Amino acid sequence: MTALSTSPDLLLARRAAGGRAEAWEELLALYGERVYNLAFHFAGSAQDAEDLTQEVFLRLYQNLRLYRGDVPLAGWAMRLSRNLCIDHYRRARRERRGEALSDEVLAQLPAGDDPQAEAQKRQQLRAVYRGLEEMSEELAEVVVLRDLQGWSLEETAACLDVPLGTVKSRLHRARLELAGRVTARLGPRGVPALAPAMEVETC
Amino acid sequence: MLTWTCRRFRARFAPGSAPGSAHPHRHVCRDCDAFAAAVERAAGVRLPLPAGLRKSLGKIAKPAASAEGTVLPFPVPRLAVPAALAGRLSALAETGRPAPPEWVLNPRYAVAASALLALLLGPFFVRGADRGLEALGAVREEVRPILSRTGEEGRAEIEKVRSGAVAAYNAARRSFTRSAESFHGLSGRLLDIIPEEFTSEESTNPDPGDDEPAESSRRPQ
Repeated sequence: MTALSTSPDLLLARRAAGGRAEAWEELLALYGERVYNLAFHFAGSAQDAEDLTQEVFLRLYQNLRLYRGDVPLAGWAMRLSRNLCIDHYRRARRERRGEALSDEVLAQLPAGDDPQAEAQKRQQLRAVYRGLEEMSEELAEVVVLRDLQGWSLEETAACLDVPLGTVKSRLHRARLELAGRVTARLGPRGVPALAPAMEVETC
Repeated sequence: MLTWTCRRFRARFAPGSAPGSAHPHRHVCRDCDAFAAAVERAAGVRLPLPAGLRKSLGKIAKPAASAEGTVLPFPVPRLAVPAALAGRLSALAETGRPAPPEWVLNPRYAVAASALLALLLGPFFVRGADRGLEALGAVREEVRPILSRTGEEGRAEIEKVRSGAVAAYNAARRSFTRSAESFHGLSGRLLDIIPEEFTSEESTNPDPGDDEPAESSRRPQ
């Protein structure tokens, strides 16, 4: 038996394409939240993220028979709607000039009890999202997928439709650039207090 | 200017990956730790899938889910057969059309029909030749007074044409008569061969013990 035929993604896709309702439900349970969260990053608002997620799954369902299992299913599904995602992403970046994505994200999350922790959380999120918005699209995309959304390198490559090596090199550059932007915005004050006895240096 | 250690840490830092927050560099570099903490914070944000969206996503596959027992390996829409088409399709199975007669299906009937046709038409052919001769005689009687009134020269020309026509006619008549006689003889022989009823061999065989079953030729080897 080949590696492709044993791929859980391929088995799941074939069952769902064959009209098994439970397979489709399993697919939603596995990838629904992941796709929605990524769509939120691409779209920048809850309503657009819902539309985008629905579009992604609609295209996934229509093309499930074509899936061969050679790339991760989630990345393959996102690639089907890649043009749509990129359109959303670029439009959202243009429209968010004065408004951070962090505010949209925080509005979706339940508020915590500690105001100081909430303020720090908001500050950190804003620093990261603003940094991403200032970066080029190809570098920002790879950080969003790999570091913020936790996609594997293979899934990221499948989603972006680029070789794995390209993902790695972009990730290297993107992390360095993002770190520079975040630290410039936050400074050492943005981190939780360190142990007093610990010696601290700054770059 | 970034130190080599900071550059290495930042390029390799991924939220959730080991050693993560326990990385020794984070305890000695505040900037790198601030960056790592912010990225960890952003990566920790997980928006739940809205219930309405979850429901609408589930509906995408609903038509396929209801298609139990499908033959094709992919979902297909199930449409009801229109009433008019259903009526026509069911009419195909009805036995309203009569079966063709036996003489159409069995080639033996075709042979018998050919023989009967020959018997019926044979006398007409022979009688036709006789009538032709009678007609020629009648014409001769009609033409004779006309010929008597023509001149010597015209009469000679007419006689020449007439003799040629008579010779050709006689030759044709002899040939036709020979054919008709042979056909008449053939029809007579057919009448001798064929009894009054042209029946099948099975029904005329009096001994059922020697009778070969009709389906014997189809017996499995």
